[in-house]
Amino acid sequence: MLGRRSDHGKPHAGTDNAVEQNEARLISQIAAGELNAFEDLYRIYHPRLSRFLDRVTRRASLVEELLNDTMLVVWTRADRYNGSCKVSTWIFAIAYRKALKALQRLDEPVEDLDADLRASSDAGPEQQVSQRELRELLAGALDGLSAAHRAVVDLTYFHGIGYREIAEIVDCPVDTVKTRMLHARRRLRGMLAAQLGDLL
Amino acid sequence: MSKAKVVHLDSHQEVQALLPWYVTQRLSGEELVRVVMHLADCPRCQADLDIERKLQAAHLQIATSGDVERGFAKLRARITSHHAPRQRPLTLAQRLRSDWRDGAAWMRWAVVAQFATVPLLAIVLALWLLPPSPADSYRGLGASVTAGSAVVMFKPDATEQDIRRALTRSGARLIGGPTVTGAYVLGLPAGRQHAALTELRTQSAVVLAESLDAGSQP
Repeated sequence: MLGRRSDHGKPHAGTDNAVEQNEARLISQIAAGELNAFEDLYRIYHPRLSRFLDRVTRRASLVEELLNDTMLVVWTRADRYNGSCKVSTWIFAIAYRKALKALQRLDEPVEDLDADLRASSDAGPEQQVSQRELRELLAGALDGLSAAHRAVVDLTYFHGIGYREIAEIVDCPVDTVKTRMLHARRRLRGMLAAQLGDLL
Repeated sequence: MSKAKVVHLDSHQEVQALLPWYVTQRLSGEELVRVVMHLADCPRCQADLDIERKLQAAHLQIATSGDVERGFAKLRARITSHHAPRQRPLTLAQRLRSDWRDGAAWMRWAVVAQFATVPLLAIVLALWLLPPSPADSYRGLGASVTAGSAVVMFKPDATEQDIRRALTRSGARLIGGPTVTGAYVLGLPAGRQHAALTELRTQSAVVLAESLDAGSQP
C-alpha cells in the first residue's frame, strides 16, 4: 500500500494485497538469512523511509544513518515479525522510534503541545505564489510543527496511510492521531494563509 | 431543535477530522458514507476539502533525495562485518536432514559405515568387559557339563519367559552377565555347541548369539 500511488496520488487499492504478500515473503526470506531478499526490501523502502525520516527529523544528515539503523533492525529481527500488522506498519514504527530517539539525543522536543495555541505570526507578507513556491512554503511550514505532528502529516498525505495504521506506527490512540492531524492542518493553514493568497 | 444542532456539530467535527483520509481515499464503509453525506450539505467542509486536496498535492511534491546504492553498500558492510541474521532455531530433525543433505558424499558413507560397525563393537566390548571367570563357574545344580561358551544378546523387551525358553530349547546354561552392554555368556552343551547356537539364533528374543571358542564354526 505505502508509496504505491498512481500519478494522481491515489493509492492502488487493488495491489495492496499483492504488495503485502510480497513484503511478507521477503521478511520470511530475510529471517532465513537471505541477503538478496533484504536488498530487495531495502530498495523498496529506501525512498519511503528517506522521505519519512527527513520530514520527521528535518535533518538530511541524519537520514541515511537512521534509515540504515532501521533496516538493520529489520535484518536482525525479521524472525520476530509475526504478521500481526502489515510489514510497512512494522518498519515505519521502527523508523519512527529511531527518529524520536535521535531527536531526543539532540534535545529537540518531540511533541510541541502548545503549537496549536500559538498565533500564526510567522506568516510573511501576502503575495501571489507559484506551485513551486507553495511546495517550498509548505515544507517550511511543516518544519514549524513538532516531530510528532510532522510524522502524522507525512504518513497521511505522502504515504497514504489510514489513521488506524498510523496509530500503530506512532504507538498512540486513534483519537490522538486525528487530533494531531487536525491541529497540524490548522497550524499549516494559519502559517500559510498570508502567502498562499488565492491558492488556498 | 438544540439537540439537532448538537448532532450536526458532532457530525461536522467528525468529518473535519476525517477529511485528510477522505482525500487520500483511506476511508471505507459507514465512515465513508457519513463523510460523503455530510459533505453534500456542508459548504464549509466542501471548502476545507478543496484546501485539503491542495495541501496534499503540494505535500506529495516535496522532494527528498537519497542514494540507495550508497546507503545499501554501507549497510551491507555493517552486516557482513558485525551482524549475522537471527535465524529461527532448527529442530534436531531439521539439523540432521540439513547436515545429511549438505555434507560431502564421503561423510555420508562414513556415517553408514559407523552405524554398521556399532554391533561389532558391541560384541568386542562385551567380551572385553566380562570377568575372566571359568566358563562353568555359574552352574545350577544338576546341570550338565558344558563344552563351550557363547555370548548372547537378548532384545531389550525380551521377557524372562522368552529367555527361559531360549535357554531350555538350546540346552545352554547361564554363566555370566549381563555386561554393561546387556550381553550374557552362556555355556553350551557338550557335543551340541553348533546345534545350540543354531537354536538360540532361531529364538525371536535373541538378537545375537556367537561362539566364544577359538576355531569354532560360525
